[in-house]
Amino acid sequence: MAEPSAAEPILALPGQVLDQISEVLAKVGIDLAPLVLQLFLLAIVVAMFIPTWKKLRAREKSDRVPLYAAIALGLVGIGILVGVVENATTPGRVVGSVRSERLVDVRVVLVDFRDREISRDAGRVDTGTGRFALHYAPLVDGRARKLRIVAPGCKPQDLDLSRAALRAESEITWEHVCAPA
Amino acid sequence: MRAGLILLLAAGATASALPGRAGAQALSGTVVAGGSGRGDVSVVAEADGRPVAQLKTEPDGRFKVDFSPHPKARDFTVTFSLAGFRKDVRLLDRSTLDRPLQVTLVPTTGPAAIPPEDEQKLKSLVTSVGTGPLLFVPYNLPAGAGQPDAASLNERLRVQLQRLIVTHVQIAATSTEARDISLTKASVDAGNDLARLRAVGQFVNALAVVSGIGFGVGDGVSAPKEIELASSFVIIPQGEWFDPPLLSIVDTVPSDQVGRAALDQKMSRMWGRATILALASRDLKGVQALKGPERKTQLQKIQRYLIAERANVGAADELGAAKLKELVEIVSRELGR
Repeated sequence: MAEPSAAEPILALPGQVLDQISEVLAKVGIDLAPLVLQLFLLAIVVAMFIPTWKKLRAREKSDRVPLYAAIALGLVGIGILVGVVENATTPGRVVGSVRSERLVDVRVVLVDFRDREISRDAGRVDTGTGRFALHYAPLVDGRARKLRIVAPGCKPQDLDLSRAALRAESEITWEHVCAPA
Repeated sequence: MRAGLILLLAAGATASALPGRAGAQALSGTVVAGGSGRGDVSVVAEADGRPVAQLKTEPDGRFKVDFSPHPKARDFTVTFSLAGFRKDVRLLDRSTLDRPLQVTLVPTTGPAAIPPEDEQKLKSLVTSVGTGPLLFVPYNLPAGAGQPDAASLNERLRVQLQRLIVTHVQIAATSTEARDISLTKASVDAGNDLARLRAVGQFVNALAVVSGIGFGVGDGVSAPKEIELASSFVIIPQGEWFDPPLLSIVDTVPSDQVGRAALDQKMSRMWGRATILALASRDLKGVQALKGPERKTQLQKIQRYLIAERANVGAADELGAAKLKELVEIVSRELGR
């Protein structure tokens, strides 16, 4: 898999903050898809930015609070947009192959940061070669965090997916050994 | 030693490769179950994870899936299922859509199915696809065969056959490839049933399965002095373009010795050649997952050992010559794609 670049932690920051907000909201019963949340937050930022901008234009030169508020809101808005662009440009395809004793029983899925299944495929692997191709919508569902392999009678096993690996569409190879559930 | 050779059969029908067709929009093929084309097999198709079609095969096993509503899709998953058979899943890309697909379903019930107790025995032999061994299912021998018993005769058969095969394969393939070949014993009762042998081979992802049945030659009262061995060689990996032959040989050997010299020379050639065909069938299948230089290198390797083997084919082995010629043509075509 590709090594993460130095810029990745910075680019990842808005996404991580968004994930945490989503998680908190989900805990209180507001379960929103990442894109919906991003648009919702962006709408709030824009709504707050308009009066702040008016105050900024009407302010006394010595009053710097509206300026700081406008800068803060601008940064938050840019962060949200970076998150949207980040998700929109992440490939929605994860490919690889599984080596397993029983390919016919194996199923692979992509899960998000909330541990929810986000791949739209049935998740079956080629019973002859073990190859699989999973598809999802990163713009709507956010970036896939893990590849999960499930098989009857076995504990589910997870493989972390790095942002760099997803971007590079790296081929994943997985030797699956069943750990009894 | 008296050796009679009967080459029984049987080239499976060979699906010829069609010329490449850019941007294929449909997949067609045949589903075989229980030895013949089978209707009512459920076919579920996805394109990039989106449902495309859910249909049943025609009475003769044929099916056709139209992917034209998804012209930009890259991955096509087709799942074949039928009660009493293992599910078969194929992941295809657009470049392989234009080739007729032949799917052979492995039974889970019925006479060809593997009983649960045999499944337990086979589990330790299961390998990843593309790395499977040659499987030796002990011959069903008559009472009184072998010294001191049938089990020891079977073991001598296994060892001698392995030597014959490895020696032959070394001539065409590299020593490394030949060294990787072992004739692994699977102590299951396949009853010399070819469908069961195939099911066992598919279960462990074997390269091929060797087995047979022995008939005592004698007065029927005392222990047989000679045994007529009817041996079968079932190649397991099958490709979309190549259906490997099913080979059988009948040979008569003394019941108390199955030394290397006692096995007919033609058996050496037949089984060795059959192993080369099995290697090619397996490697060609593996090539489908490769791209670029790696694919080319692998195809050249297959071409090399096929051509080397073809150079050793005598006029008597028409089937072997035909199958090798066919494989060489497939590889050349693939190299030119």
